[in-house]
Amino acid sequence: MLLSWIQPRDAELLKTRFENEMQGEVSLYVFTRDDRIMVPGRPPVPYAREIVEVMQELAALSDKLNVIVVDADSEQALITEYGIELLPAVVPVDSEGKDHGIRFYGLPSGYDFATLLEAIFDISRGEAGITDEPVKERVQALANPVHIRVFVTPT
Amino acid sequence: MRTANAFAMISENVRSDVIDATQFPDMARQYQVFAVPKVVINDKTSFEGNLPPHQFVGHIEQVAATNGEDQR
Repeated sequence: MLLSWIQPRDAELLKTRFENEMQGEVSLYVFTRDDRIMVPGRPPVPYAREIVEVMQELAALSDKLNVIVVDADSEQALITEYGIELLPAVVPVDSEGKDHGIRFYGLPSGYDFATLLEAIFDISRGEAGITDEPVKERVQALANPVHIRVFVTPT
Repeated sequence: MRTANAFAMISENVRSDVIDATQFPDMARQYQVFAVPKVVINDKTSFEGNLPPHQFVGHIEQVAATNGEDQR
């Protein structure tokens, strides 16, 4: 690859963090679409190719991180299975392939990228990033489906 | 937003979508996102800014007490 998305200095830092913080393997399902195919009326996928490149560069920094690219047009069943609402999307799953209900919509960058890293580390460790036991118990007690949408901007 | 992801990890009933509002302007408009982070729960209630986890789960409990997610 001629162009790198992750700067060499950041790559070194990330490598060290992965070495120190990764326990189990994590796979990133990257749902996207070939943006060279234009279909009238269909909205373009932002950063359709870039997201694959960025995630592959990230995964190259750790032998415990894998990327699985899913083409939305040929893999409709997976889109339905994972309930993907927007493209592109990144879904981190653990070494057993378990989906933890976390989706990133759009190319994660800036603060968003840091949040993706945290999700990767948490899933790898099998620990949610919350230590407050009473809060955990209240979340565990939720009996009905809860769909949280968090709107963010990169900075 | 790490809180929402943590909730999703704790409970199989919770799903957390992190959406870049700048890349999906139509959706941001639909959900009336004027400031970030904006958190929308089951399309029924929302708040802006980062809340401590105990307040965040309080919002969820209020919505969950009524019923599940509306079909859109």
